[in-house]
Amino acid sequence: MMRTHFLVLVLGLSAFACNGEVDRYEDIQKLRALGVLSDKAVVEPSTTATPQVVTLTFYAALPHGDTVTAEPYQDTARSSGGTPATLTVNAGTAVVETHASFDLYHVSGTLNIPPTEALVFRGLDQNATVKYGIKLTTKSSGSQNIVGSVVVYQSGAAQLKSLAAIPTVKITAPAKSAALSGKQDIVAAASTAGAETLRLGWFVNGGEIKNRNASTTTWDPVKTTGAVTLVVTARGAKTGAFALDVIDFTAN
Amino acid sequence: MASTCRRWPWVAGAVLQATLVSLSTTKLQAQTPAAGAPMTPATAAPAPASAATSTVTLKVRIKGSGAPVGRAEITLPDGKKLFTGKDGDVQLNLPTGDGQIRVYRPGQEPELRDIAELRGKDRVEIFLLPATPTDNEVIVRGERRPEASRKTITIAEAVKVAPGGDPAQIPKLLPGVQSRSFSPDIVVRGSGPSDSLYRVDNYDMPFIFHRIGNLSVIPPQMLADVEFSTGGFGSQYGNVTGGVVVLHTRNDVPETPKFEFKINIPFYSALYYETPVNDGKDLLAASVRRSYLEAFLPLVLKKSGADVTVVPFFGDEHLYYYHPTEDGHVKIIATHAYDGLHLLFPSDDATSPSGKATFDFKTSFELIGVEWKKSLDKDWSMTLSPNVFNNDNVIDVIDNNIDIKVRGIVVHADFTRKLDGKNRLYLGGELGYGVANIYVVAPVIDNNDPFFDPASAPKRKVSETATYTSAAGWVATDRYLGDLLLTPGIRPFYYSQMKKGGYDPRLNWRYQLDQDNSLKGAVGQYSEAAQFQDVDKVFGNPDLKYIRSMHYILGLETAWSDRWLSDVQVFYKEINGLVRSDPVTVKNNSGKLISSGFELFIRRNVTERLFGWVAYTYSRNREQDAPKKHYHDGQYDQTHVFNLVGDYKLTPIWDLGGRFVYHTGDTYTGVDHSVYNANLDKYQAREGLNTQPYNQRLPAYHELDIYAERDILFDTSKLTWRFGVEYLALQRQAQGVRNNYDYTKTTYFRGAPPIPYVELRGTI
Repeated sequence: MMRTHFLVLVLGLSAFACNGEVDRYEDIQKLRALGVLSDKAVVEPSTTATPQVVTLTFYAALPHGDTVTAEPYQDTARSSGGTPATLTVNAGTAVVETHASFDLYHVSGTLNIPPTEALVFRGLDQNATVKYGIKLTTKSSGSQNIVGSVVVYQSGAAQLKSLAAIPTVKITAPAKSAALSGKQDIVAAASTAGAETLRLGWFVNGGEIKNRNASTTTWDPVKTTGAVTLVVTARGAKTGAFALDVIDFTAN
Repeated sequence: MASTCRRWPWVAGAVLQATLVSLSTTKLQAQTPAAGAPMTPATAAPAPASAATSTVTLKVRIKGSGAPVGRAEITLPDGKKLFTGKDGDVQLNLPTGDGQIRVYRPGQEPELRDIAELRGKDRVEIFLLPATPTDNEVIVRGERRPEASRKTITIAEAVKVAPGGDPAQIPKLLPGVQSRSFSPDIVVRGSGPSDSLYRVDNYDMPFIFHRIGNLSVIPPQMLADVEFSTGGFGSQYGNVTGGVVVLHTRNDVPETPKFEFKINIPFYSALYYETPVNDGKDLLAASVRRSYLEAFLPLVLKKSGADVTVVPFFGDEHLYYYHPTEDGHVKIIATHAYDGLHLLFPSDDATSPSGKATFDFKTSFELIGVEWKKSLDKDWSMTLSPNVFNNDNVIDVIDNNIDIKVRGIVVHADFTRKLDGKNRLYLGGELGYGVANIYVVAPVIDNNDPFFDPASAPKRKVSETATYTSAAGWVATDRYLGDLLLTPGIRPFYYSQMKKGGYDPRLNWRYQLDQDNSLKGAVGQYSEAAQFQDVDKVFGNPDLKYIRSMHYILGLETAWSDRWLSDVQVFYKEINGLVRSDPVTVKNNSGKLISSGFELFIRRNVTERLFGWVAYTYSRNREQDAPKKHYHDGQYDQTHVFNLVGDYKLTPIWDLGGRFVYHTGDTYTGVDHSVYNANLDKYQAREGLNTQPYNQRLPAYHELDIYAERDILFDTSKLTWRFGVEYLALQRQAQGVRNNYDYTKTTYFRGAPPIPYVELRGTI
């Protein structure tokens, strides 16, 4: 008797269906972290003579009209994930850029890199990581705990040069402010001078993106009409070096 | 012989049978046994010539199978009685005048025939319907050596009430077992699914369930019973800390061939054929099962607009030969079983332009085994069971590949020596040798790398050929000291992947308090080698130690009558050296589990009319991930498990039954909050600082499954309709939890709604 076959499949399919249709990752309807831009992709340990400080810019999508406060955040992850360091949120650096469907919020902070003796260098290329965290709290659309790491190499390591580049990314299709109908190819061009691969991520405030990690993919408006804001991010697989681009267009 | 026609399709068979019956005759002897005298088949004494004007051959058969009815009683109008021979035939000189003959055999409804109806015919077939089932006689199961926590369920019981009608799943309904409705896996007293032993006779099976089909790999027609032990088992079994499930193949030769089919649309079909061979001394059976769901499902999904491709398939083929000898038997089994799944679904981890990820797996095995059982002399007997096998496992997940092929040979030998009285000595050994071809392309998980992302992490490739050996022996003895039976045993073992050996001492005991009550118990060590992947130098730790468990069991077994039995057991099990992830050594032996509780089993023995049982288990499974850390509820903890199982034969052709299952909800690790990991562009769940794993529970689970079976009897064949409803519950039951992308919403996976079903089986 194979009654249970059917049930297993129903369960399995419902799981996938839900992954695909409910709360899609790329769909921005509330405060959403987008990424963290570091002014240095990789850094060397601090010394007494030369303290190393990294400036981090935290990007988030914010519903129109909402307000945000930022404060340092300590991650409670069980795995070490690197050496924790305290972030200082830089007062007066918060910026809200208005876009068609949501605002782009960013704020910066500084991170003091510990000296060699406080770091754990590991792995094949002997790097250390320094953990940071920030908490963004809005008035009416929730909060986000954003964590990440800065990669540290010993002074003189070749990676300090080979991985130093900050990537760029640009949406090449559709065009800014275009008025469009139906499914659209969406294309991003990303590049870096660093010796690492870039991983892309698309965000949008409606419809569905077929493969949100592909440089060329399709946006299906489903039932979305009106103003649409499209975001693409790029991040280095080894360093997390970050870039983003945002456009607005109209879906008819 | 008439019965040979049953190998043909059943319509043609009926025609052939009518033709062939004339080849078989048994001469008549009129006799009138005295009351209580043993009945004997008819022989050649003719009826008085003056009373007969014609002769007819009566061929008495069982309706629904056409099997000949030996020793059927034929009562003539004058009260004289005749009896059919072994082939069910009797030659009857018909008396003059009117009147009726009565044809009867215990267990069948009597059949009356007018003399006038028989007159002028050479032969008449009379098919006896089954009688209304009685509750008078208990059907005896085969008995095995007593062990504290062993239970045996017949295949006849199992196919009625087991989930999916699958005998291998009957342990899910017995005490000491935690299970889930949608998985064939069983958790025995806290030990995980891979920590129990699954065997067919003496052969370890690479897998005993079709993972897709939720169906065991051996068809029930080839089986005699299911033996299941939840712990404290003897030293003949090893390398597991949980339980033992053994499917025993049958030990009988049918008198006639039989063909069975099963049609289940749209899932699978099965064909089974068995026949006596070698002049009726041996059994030859063959079986084929194959799914065709893979043909239907993609079409259904495409029409429904689902953006998912699911192509599951499974099947198996078997040949079984049984040859009884004067002092034992020879059994040969050849098996091929396979499962597979191709899944294509939208995923954030997809690397393809379509945004879809693949999950493909195929697993298969072939096994040929021979079991030779023989009495060597008046004291010694032996069972030798060599087998060769080949096992392929291929798993492709996105860009990761695992391909493991294992082929090997295992020789299993048991020797039993009769000592004085009922005392016995048991010796045995098992040697295994195998070659494994391993090909793995996968990332090595690094929990300390904040940039580690399985989707994009560099992959390590391992391609190697490895050999392995295993060796185990056992010595045990049954020693009767008055009403006390002691069975001490020891099991030395060596598994090459561990590069070291060990030994497990064990003791089973049973004390007969009186005729109806027995105290019983067991204590022993049960060791298990780490899985191959856990001792791999890349993906694991070659220095892992054996996982060792101690079982302590105390029980009271009571026979309240010949129909009712109860069995109460308390148990305590401690497992040390469980394999856990380690940031430095990848794997370590730091895990510990303690399982304790009690079990109640009340059984209503099988009669023609009724059987069933109640099984209740109270247990706590507490785990410790490392020394000095807090204990927490185990992954498989279900505190209360209750099963009520029964089958009632209402009439000769109607059967009603069902099962009710209740258990405490499964544990899972709750999410306290989440973080956005900017390194990976992913949200990650976080537990509270003092939160323990498996700190949450699903709601309690309950389920009712009911069925009715209706036989439709033809002269030489039978159709069985089975109607039922599965997964009856007050609401769809929670099977698991699902989080949205940022863990701000948690919902339950719900099981299926009640599903009515109809199934058709045929026996020819």
